[in-house]
Amino acid sequence: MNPVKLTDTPFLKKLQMFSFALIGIGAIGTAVAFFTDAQRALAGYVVAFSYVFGLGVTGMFFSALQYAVRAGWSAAVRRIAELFAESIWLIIVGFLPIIFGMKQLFPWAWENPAQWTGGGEGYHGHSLHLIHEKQQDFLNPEFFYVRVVLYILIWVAMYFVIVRNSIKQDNLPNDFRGTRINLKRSAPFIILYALSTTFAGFDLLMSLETTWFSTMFGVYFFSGNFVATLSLVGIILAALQRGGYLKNYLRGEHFHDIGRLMFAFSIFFAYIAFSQYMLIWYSNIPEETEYFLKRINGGWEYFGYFTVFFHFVVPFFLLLRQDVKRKTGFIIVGGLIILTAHFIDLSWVVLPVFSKHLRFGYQEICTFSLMMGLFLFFVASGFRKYSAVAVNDPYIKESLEYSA
Amino acid sequence: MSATTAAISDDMRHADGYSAASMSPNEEPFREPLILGNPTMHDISRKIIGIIESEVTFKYLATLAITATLAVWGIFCIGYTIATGIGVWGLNNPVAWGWDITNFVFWIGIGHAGTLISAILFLFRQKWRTAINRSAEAMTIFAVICALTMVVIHTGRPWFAYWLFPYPNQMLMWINFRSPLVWDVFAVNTYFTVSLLFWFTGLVPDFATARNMVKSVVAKKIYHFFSLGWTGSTRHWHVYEVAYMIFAAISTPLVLSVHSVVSFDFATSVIPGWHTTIFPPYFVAGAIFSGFAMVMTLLVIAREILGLKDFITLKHLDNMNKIILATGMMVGYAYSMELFVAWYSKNPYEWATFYNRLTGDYAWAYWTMVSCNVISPQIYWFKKLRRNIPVMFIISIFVNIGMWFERFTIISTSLHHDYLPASWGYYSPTWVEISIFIGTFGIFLTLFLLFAKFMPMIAIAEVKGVMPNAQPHHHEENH
Repeated sequence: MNPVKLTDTPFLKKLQMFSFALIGIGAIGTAVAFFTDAQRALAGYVVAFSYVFGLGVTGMFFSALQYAVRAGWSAAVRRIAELFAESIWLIIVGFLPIIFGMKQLFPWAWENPAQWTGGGEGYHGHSLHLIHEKQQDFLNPEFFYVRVVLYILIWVAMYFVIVRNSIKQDNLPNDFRGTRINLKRSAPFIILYALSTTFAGFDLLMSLETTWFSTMFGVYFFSGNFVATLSLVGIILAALQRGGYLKNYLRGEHFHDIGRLMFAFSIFFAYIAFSQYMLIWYSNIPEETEYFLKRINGGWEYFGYFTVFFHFVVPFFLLLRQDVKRKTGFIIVGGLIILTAHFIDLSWVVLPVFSKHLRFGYQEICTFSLMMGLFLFFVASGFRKYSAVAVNDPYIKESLEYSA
Repeated sequence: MSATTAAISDDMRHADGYSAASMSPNEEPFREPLILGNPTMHDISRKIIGIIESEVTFKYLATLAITATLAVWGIFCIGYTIATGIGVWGLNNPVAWGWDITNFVFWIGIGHAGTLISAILFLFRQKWRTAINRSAEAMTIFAVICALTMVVIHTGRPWFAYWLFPYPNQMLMWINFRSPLVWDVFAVNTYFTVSLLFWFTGLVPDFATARNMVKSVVAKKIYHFFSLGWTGSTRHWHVYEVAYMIFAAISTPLVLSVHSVVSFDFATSVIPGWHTTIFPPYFVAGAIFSGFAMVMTLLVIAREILGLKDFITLKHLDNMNKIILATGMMVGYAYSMELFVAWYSKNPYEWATFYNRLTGDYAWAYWTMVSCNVISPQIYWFKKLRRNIPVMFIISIFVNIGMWFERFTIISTSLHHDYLPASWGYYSPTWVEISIFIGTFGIFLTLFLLFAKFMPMIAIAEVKGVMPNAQPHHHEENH
């Protein structure tokens, strides 16, 4: 089958225009925000960057997962997620602002640990800076750079092995070598993905408050990323279907399955988030509750409520019925709700560290708009260069025929 | 079956209607068949019902006698515990939970694979589940029976076990709804009820097949009763399919909830090593891991003795070994997260507990757990070993040992070092506890042996649905 290129289609033009608009608005707002309050802008940047690299890297994970489990149904939709990985260059460069702004963001990067505590006493009678000093064995700038380089190496390797092998096949009918390689390599890459995103989550998000820790945090970060990635895949597929671009490939079954996964993983996110919250609330140990105490006071609680409703309750009832999952309109609405809720959730994790009271304005939204615009720009360039469907995948026939 | 169909070589038949006809002949197919030997529909019914119809062999009776003896011995020890009191166990002041709760969590974990296979793999359209779901579900139910036995005797006064349920009473005494132990009562009972009903629903068409095929009049009557007047009409199948789907949807959250609630028993406390937020998904992954290992142990023997190699093929075992590898890695992830965060946090109590796990009095248990659960499944990265029967049998035993030690490690290492060094202790089980544990194996295996003899061991109707000639495009290709 011939590659399905969307070059010069109205869809691609709209996607590019949309990304330019987001970048334009975002860049101005971010610049203004940065020069008025650099720390605040950087905090917003941590949210936006975590969001974007979550989508990009989890797109590759989605692809690797399809190979690892020998999925047939997803052959027609897998490429959309793979094109998210086109943002790999954005992800690499995106670490730079965090490295340069490190001293504004992470307490462990501050030069004088004493200023960190404000001289206060922490738990167990330790002075907080003593704990902070001990934590320097893991949380120090040099080791942080090493870890960032490791993450990047893993993700670039994943991009070249998984995504490029899949794309290469588009012009090679009846050549399944790429698939065979991916069938073998996807499983190790899933392990590397799990470890790299867990530790990237620890580094970028959890270490904003070094004395707080949760063993669940990696899973929490993953569950939000995964449902957001599925939602974006669903939205793009629905848009392509509505434009009539993939009529020969997409069927109700695919939307049904993407809808099911969105439904299932928004429940999974709720399960993980609830478990983390409930266990910390129930045990009520000071060093753990400090995290949620900040986040359920000062106006931040509304972000929490928003997450509960729009990350779980609304998608649950919206996508519960069997028939609605096959309607592109519902997939788009459900996907947008989940994507918004994921942004609010990450903001809820990051922003309360920097402000006791609810502080959310154009600064945060514009940084997000900038990063999301750049991300979509890279995705659009992927659509311009590569086929929108993995047309020569050995499972593609199965994907066109299966019934849910 | 027609001669043309029979002529198609095995590697070109694809159980799900997908054919890789365009591939060069020396390449292996992307989908392996799920049933070997090219049987007809009638062959399948005859094979499975044949197990029920076959004469009882001496070997079977001898095995049953051994397992039943163990069960009776275990039940005797339970009686001894109840009559004398829990003092006959080795529990002491810092270590108030020992083998009994370890066994409870162990058996609940074993009971997870059945529902995962019947519910989650069903929703994921994993057709290979059809050959193994029946026996896995049966195993689930027997394992939960063992688990419930363990908690009921642990209450100390099991004759008051009904106090665990909330009901209006003259004493105006209510359970503490905030206690995770009470959530457990609800979680485990719900799980048991739904699993039992799900299993029974799937059995109805097969009971009807058995009713039609068995010769003995008594057996016919019994299967007749349990097949609920099944006629195989379209209407019956329609209702059945809808019910099955709903059960699958209800059971899916149960797969996660039961072991999550069991993990809350530990994680809501303020005991280092117990209170850690990753416990719920970690316990669920561990439960699926151990459950699959137990299914593997039983099926490797069953397919050999009952001649089910064409139904439970190497492909099935390969898939199960992959799940064992995947869940083993998840458990390994959880172990490393616990350890890493204990070190990262610089919380002195957390780190003391984990350091003690690695090097203290129970280090042998910890390292047994790590070697069995994390290291031993790594050999499954190789396809040859995933398809090697002796290897998978040994690894499945290792995993069972490792998962038992995981619970033992969690329970005893966290308890035996109290916050006050003056109240540190050490726990070893008495012969009574060991006997009860062996006894639960007796109960479990006895029930499983009876199941294998008297019930359709493989879901006949479902297996027929994944045969190549049951697929929509089967006749269009390769002809």
